[in-house]
Amino acid sequence: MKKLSLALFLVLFGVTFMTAQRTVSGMLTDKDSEPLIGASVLVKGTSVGTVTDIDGKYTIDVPAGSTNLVYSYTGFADQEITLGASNVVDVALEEGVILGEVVVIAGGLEANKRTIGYAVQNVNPDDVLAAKEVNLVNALSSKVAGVSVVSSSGSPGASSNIRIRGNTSIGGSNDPLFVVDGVPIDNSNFGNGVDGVDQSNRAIDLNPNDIASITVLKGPSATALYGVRAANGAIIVTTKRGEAGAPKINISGSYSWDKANQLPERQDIYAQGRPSGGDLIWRGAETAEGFSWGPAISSLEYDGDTTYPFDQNGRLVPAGTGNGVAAQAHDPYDFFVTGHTYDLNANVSGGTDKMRYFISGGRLSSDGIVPNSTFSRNSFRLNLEANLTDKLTASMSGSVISSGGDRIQRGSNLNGVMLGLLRTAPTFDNGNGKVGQDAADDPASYVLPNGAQRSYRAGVYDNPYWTVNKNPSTDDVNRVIGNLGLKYELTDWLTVAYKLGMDQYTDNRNSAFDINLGGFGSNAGSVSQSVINSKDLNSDLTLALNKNLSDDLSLSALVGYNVFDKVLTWEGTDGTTLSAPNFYHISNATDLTAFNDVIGKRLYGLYGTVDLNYKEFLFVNVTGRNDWSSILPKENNTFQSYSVALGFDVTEALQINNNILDYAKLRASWGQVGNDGGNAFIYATSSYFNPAFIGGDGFITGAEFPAFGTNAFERDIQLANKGLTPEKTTTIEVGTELKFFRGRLGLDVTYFASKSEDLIIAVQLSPATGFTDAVQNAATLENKGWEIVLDAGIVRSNDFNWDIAVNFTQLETDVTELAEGVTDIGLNGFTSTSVDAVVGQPFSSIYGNGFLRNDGGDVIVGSDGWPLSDPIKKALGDPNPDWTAGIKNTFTYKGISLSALIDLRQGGDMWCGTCGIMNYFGTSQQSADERDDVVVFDGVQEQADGSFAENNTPVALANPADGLGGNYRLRYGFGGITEMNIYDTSWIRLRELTVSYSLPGSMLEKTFVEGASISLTGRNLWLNTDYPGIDPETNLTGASNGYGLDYFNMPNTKSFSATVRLTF
Amino acid sequence: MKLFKYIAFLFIGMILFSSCEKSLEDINQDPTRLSDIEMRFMLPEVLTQTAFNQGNNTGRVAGLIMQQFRGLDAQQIQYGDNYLLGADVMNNYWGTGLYSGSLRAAQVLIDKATEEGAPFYSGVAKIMQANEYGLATSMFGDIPFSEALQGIDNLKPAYDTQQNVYAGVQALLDAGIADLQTGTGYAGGDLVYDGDVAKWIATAYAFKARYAMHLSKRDPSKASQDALSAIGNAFTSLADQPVFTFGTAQTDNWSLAKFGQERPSTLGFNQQFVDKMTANDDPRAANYYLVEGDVVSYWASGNTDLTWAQNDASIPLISLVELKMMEAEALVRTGGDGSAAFAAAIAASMAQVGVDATAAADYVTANGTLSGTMDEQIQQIVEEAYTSYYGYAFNSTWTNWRRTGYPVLTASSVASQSFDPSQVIPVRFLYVESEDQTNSVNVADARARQGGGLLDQPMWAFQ
Repeated sequence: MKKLSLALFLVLFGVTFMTAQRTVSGMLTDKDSEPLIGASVLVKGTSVGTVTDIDGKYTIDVPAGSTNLVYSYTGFADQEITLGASNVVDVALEEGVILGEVVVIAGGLEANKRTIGYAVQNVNPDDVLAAKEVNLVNALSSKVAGVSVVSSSGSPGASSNIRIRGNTSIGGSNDPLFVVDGVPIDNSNFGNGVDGVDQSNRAIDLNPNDIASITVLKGPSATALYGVRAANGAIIVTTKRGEAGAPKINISGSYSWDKANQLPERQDIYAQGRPSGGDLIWRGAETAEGFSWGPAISSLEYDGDTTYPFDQNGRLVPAGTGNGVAAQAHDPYDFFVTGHTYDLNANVSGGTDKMRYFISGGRLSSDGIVPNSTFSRNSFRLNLEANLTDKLTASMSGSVISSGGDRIQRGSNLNGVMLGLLRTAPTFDNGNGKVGQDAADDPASYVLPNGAQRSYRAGVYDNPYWTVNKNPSTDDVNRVIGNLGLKYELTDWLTVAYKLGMDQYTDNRNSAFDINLGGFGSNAGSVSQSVINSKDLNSDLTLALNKNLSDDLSLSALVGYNVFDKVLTWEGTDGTTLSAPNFYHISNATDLTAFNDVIGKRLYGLYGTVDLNYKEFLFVNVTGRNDWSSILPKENNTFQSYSVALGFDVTEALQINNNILDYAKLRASWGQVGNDGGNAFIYATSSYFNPAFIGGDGFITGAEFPAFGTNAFERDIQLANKGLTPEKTTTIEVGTELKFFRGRLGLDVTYFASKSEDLIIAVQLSPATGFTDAVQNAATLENKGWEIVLDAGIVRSNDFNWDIAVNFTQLETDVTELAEGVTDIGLNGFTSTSVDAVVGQPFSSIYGNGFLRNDGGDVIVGSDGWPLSDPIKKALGDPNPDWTAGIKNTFTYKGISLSALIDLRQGGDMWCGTCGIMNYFGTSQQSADERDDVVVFDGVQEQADGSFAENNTPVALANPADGLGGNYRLRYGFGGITEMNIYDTSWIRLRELTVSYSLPGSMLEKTFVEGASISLTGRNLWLNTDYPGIDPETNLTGASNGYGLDYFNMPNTKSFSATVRLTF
Repeated sequence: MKLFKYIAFLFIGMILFSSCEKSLEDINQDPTRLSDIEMRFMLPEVLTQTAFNQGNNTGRVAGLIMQQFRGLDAQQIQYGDNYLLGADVMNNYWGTGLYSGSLRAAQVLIDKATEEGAPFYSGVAKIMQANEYGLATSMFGDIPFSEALQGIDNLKPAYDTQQNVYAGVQALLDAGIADLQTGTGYAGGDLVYDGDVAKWIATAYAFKARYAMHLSKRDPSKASQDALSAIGNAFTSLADQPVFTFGTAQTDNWSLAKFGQERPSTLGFNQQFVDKMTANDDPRAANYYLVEGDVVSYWASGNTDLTWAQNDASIPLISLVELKMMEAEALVRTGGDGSAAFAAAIAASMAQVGVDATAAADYVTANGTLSGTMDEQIQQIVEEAYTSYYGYAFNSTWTNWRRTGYPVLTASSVASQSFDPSQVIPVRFLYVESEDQTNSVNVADARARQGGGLLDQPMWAFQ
C-alpha cells in the first residue's frame, strides 16, 4: 500500500520513473520468415507495448511480475508467449482465419467484418468512455462516418438526435434503432419542442461503462434483421461479459468541471430605455418595458433612493442630477456557475467453465452550469451466461436504471432562462448584488419585498434566478431492460435460440410554475403531474445454420420469427391557479384537467439471412424479411424487405502478398426496405372525435373541454386515410476496404445513395376544406453521400507511437417530392421562421421571410429607403453541412497517451433567432455598434417606369426622433425577418483532448492492484466558429426531425475531467 | 429428449404472447377516443370557438389598426406601428380558429343534425356559421364559401367573390331561421340560450342586420332598409342578446384576457383613445383602461374593473349596442330620426359595463343627441360606436371605419411599405400563407381579382 501511495504521489506530481526487470527483444515474421513490420507486442495485463521496426525486430522492457507477451498483427492470429529464461524471443505468426474486426449483426450474432458486403463501423468503447459524455448518443459524435449527432444543449440530461445517413422520414422517426445485447430498446423522447425543458432521449439510460462493443449498421441489411424500426440503421451495443477465471474487479471514478463554451456578445454601453419625444430616456424595471435603447450608461448616475425595489442604488437619472455614483453595467452571464459531474463505476466479472458473470453498478451525478439544474443516473447490471448442458446455454442480460433530474425552462418561453437572461438590460442586476449560486439561493435577488417578482421587466420575463427556483421541472425514470436467452445446439451445425427481451420504464414528471402576480407578472401558477409508462416486449426465435458445404464453400444461414409489442401510456393531470406559493403539488391547484394517451403497436416479422463464403474471398449476404404491422390498414399491413451484398477480397483472390497492399476488399450492396411510417401516424387510418379544443391564436393557449359544466368533442381535423400503404426505401452502396504497409494505413471508402418513396406524411390541406391536413403516402426523400474512414500509424517505434484516425462524411439529404400541389411541410419551429421539408431543397431547410428581390436578385428598397420584405416565404437556409470530419491524433509514449479529437464542419446554416431578438431589444453588441449609423441599404428602388435604379436614400438606423417603431431593428417585426438572422455554422473544435497514463506493473507489484490508470480529458475546450450565438451544435427542438433553429437555446458546455481506473 | 427441449423453447414464446390475443386490426383502434358523439356535445365547441375568435388575433389587430390598442412590445408594435401584417399573421385564425375551427365544427353539426333530423342544432350551427363567414369576408374580401368544408370531395376550394359571400351569409341565416322554425330536437349543449328557439331566431335577425349594414357603402338605402327590417325581428333587450360567458379556469378564459395574462405588457391601451374618453368625461373609462404612471393597460392582473379583460367575461356574440347603433344609422340614412336608438345604444353600452344609471344618464344627456347633417350624424354615431364596441366587437369598429371613414384616424408614421405600399391604415388582411402552400391557384386568382390584395387595397364591400 505504501508503495501505491508513493506511486500515486509521483504520478500526480508529474514525475515518472520506470523500473524494468528485464528487456526482451526478438523478431516477428510470417511463416515464410518474411519480417512483419509494425506488428504489436504487448506485455499482457499492462499497457506496456511496442511495435516491430522495418526489419520486424522489437525490444521491450518487461515489468517485473509480468510473464506473458502478446504478439498481434493484422491478418494474423494473435499469439501469446510465456517468457522463459531467454531474453530473445522470435515469433512466427500464423495467418489468421479471423482477419479484421468482429462486428455484431443479427440477433447478437457476431460476424467478421471481412465477410460482410455492406458498410458497418465499430466504435471503440474506450473512445466512448473517453468522450466523457453523459449521453451515449453524444459520445458517438464525430466518431463514425455517415453519422451525425445534434444535441439540444449542454444542459444536464438534455436530448440529442442521431442520424445515420441522413433522413428517410418527414413526419415519422429518423432515429436509428438501438439494440442492446440483441434486443431493441426504446430511445424515445417526449416533450422536446420550441419551449418547455430539455427532456432526455432514453438512450441516456445506457451506462457507457457497461459497453463492450458498439457496431453501427448503416445500410438496409440492418432492417432485414431488426425490422422496420431499424429502417434508419441500427446501433448495436453489446455489454460486457464475464470470462472464466477469478473475480476481476474494476473501479473507476471521474470528476468533471463544466462551463458554458460560447455565449452571444452583449453590449454594456446603453441603458434600459427607449426614445421618447426625440430623446433617449431611461425606463426602469417598474415600467415593464423591455428595451435597451436608452441613453448611454456613461451619461447616467443613481439617485440614491434606497426604497427603490429594483436596484439598491436607486433609479438612474442624468449625470449631475443624482448622487454622483456613476451608473453601472452588469454582466448577466455571471448567472452561470461551474457545473460538476461525478461518475463512479464498479464492476466485477469472472466465472467458471459452466457459468460466467458480469455485475456492475454505476452512479453518475451532474450539476449543470445553470444553478439548480441536475441530472443523475444510477444503474445496475447483471449479465450471466451458463452452460446448462454441453449443448444448452442460457443467458441473461439485465439492467435496472433510475435516472432523471431537475430540468430548466428554456427556449421560446417567458420563463426560459436564456430568454430572460439575454434580454436583460445591461443596467439591471439580476442577482441584486450577488452572482451565480449565491444569488440563486437568495430570494432577495428574484423576489421583491412585496412578494412580486424582481426582474428587469417587473415579472414579464422571468428573472433567471426566479425561474430556477420557482419553476421546477423534474423527471424520475425507473427502467428495467433485460433479456433472457436460451440457445440449444441441435447438431454441431444447427442451433436454435430463443430470446425474450423486455424494456419497461415509468417516467414520472412534475413541473410547476409558481404564482407570479403583482408587478406585471401574470401567472396564477400551475402544476402538471404525469407519468409515461412504456412497455416493449420483443421475442425472437431463431434457427441458425453453419456448415461447410465443401472445402471451398461455407454457408451460414439464419431464419427467425420476431414479435414486437409496445404499449405506451401517458397520463396525467394539469392544474392551474395555485392556492399557495412555493407548493408544487397537484392538490394546490384550483382547476384540473386530466389526460390519458395510449400508443399500442404490434409487429410480426419473419426473416432470414444467408451468407455464403467462397474460398475466403467471395462473400454473398442475402437477407429477406416480411413484416406485419398493426399501424397500417389490414389490407396493406404486410410488407417485405430484401438486401443483397457482395464482398470480394481482391488480395485473397489474387493471392496478392506484398509489403505495400495487404488487403483489398470491394463491396457492393442493394437493398429495399419497407416501413410502416412509425408511431407518428398511429391510429391515422380511422376518424375519431377528440376532446374539443378552442384555438386559432398562436399567441395564447386555447380553451379546453370539459368546461362550462359540459364536455364537448370535435371531429379530427386530420383527414384519416384507410388506404395507407407501406413506405419503401431503396439503397445502393459500393465501397472498398484497403490496408497498406502491413496495416499501417487503412482506408474504407463507401458511397451510398438511397431513395425513400411513398413516405407517409401529414399533407397540409387548405383549412377551407375543414381539415388542416391529411395523412398520405406522398413524399420522396433522397440521400446520398460519401463515407471515408482512414487510419494511419504515422510513427511506430519502441517507445513512441503516433496514430491518426479520420472519419469523413459528405452527405446530401434532399426532399424531392411532396404531395401534389404541396411545396412545403413544416417540421418544427415558429409561425414566422421554421424548418421545413421543401420540394427541391435539402431536408430541414430554414423557411421564412426574406427581402423582396427583383428578377436580377437585387433587394428592392422602398421609396423611404428601407428594404422591402417578401410576403411569400421561401427556403432561405440549409442547416446541413457540406461535409464533416473527425480527426483523431493519438500519441503514446510508454505508458502515457495523448489523444486529440478535432471536429470539422464545413457549411450548414442556423437561424439565430436569439440574435434577432437581442438586436430587437438592443442588448446585443451589434445593436450597440450600429445604433448611430446612417446607411444606404444595398438594393434598388423601383422607378415610375418600372425600371430599377440603385438605392441612394440614406436612413438612420436608430434615430431617436423616429421613435421605437422607426428603429431598423423593430421595423421588420419582432426579431427581424428570417433572412436577417441566418448564419453559417462552419466550425473547428477540439472535441476531445485526453492525456492518460497507465501505471507500469512494476509500480503495482506487491499491491493487490493489477492495473491502474489516470486520465485527464478536456471536452469542447476550443471552438472556432463565426456563428454569433451559442455553440451551433445545439438544436432548439432537441431530438426531433427539424434542426437548424436557435431561439434562446441553452448553451453548450466545455468541460475538464479527471478519471482514475483501478483493476484488481 | 432433444426434441422435447426444442419444443419447450417454442412454448416460452407462445405463452408470453398468448395473453395478447388482440388482432393487429384491434390494436390499431385508439382506445382513448370516440368514433361518434351526440350533438349536444358538439354544439358547445361551435359557440365557444365563435366567441373566442372575437378576442383573438383578428380582434386585437383590428383594435391596433383602429388605435384602440397600442403595441408595447414585440409583434404588437410590428402590427400597430409598422403595419407589418404578413401572410403568417392570420394563419392560425384562418386554420384552427375559422375554417377548421368554428366553421368546421358548425358544418359537422349541420351534417349530423340534417341526417338525424334535429333542426335546432342545424339552425343554430347555420347562424353561427353565417356570422363567422360574414366576419371573415369583411377582413379578407373574397373567401372560400360555396366550395368550402367539403373535405376529401374538394381539396382545393375556390374563392367566392365577396359579393356572393355576403349574399350567401344572408341565405345561410335565412336557412338557419327556417330550420329553427320547423321544430327543435334540442337535447342540451346550448351554452347561450339553453335551447330557446325564439331567441336564436332573434339573434339570426340581428346578424342579418349587421351583414346588411356592412354593405352601406355599396347601396346605402338598401343596406339601411334591409337592416331596419331585420332589426324589427331581432332582440330588444340586453337580457335577450346572445351572450357567451367564459370561465375562471385558465382553460376556459376569454381570449382577450388570456392575452393579457399570457403575453403581459405587449399590448397596451392607446393614449389617443384615453384622450378621447377623457375629453368626453366618459364614465366607462375605469372599465376600459388602467393608468399606472405612464403605462396604460387594457388588462391588469387581479383587476376586476376592466370589464372586457376579465377571464370570465360575458361576451355578446352580437350586442344590443350594435343593433341600436345600426338602427340609428339606418334611420338617419333613410331620413328618419335616429336619436332614440342612438341614446338606447349608449345606455346599453353603459349598462353592459356596469356604469351606474346616473352617470350613464349624464353621459347620454351630454353626448346622446344627434344633430347636424346626415353625414355629421353618422359621424357622431360611428364615433360613439367606436367607444361602445370596444372590448368585444373590434371587427365592427374596423368595418365602421372602412365603410364610413369615422373616426378620423392618422396612419402611423413608421408604416412599412412591404405589405402596405401606400402606408395607409390597413383596410384588409393578407391571405394567409397556408393557402399559398395548399390552394395556390385559387388564392392567386382571388388576389388577382382584388388588385393584388395588399393591406392598402380596398375590398368590394367598402368601395
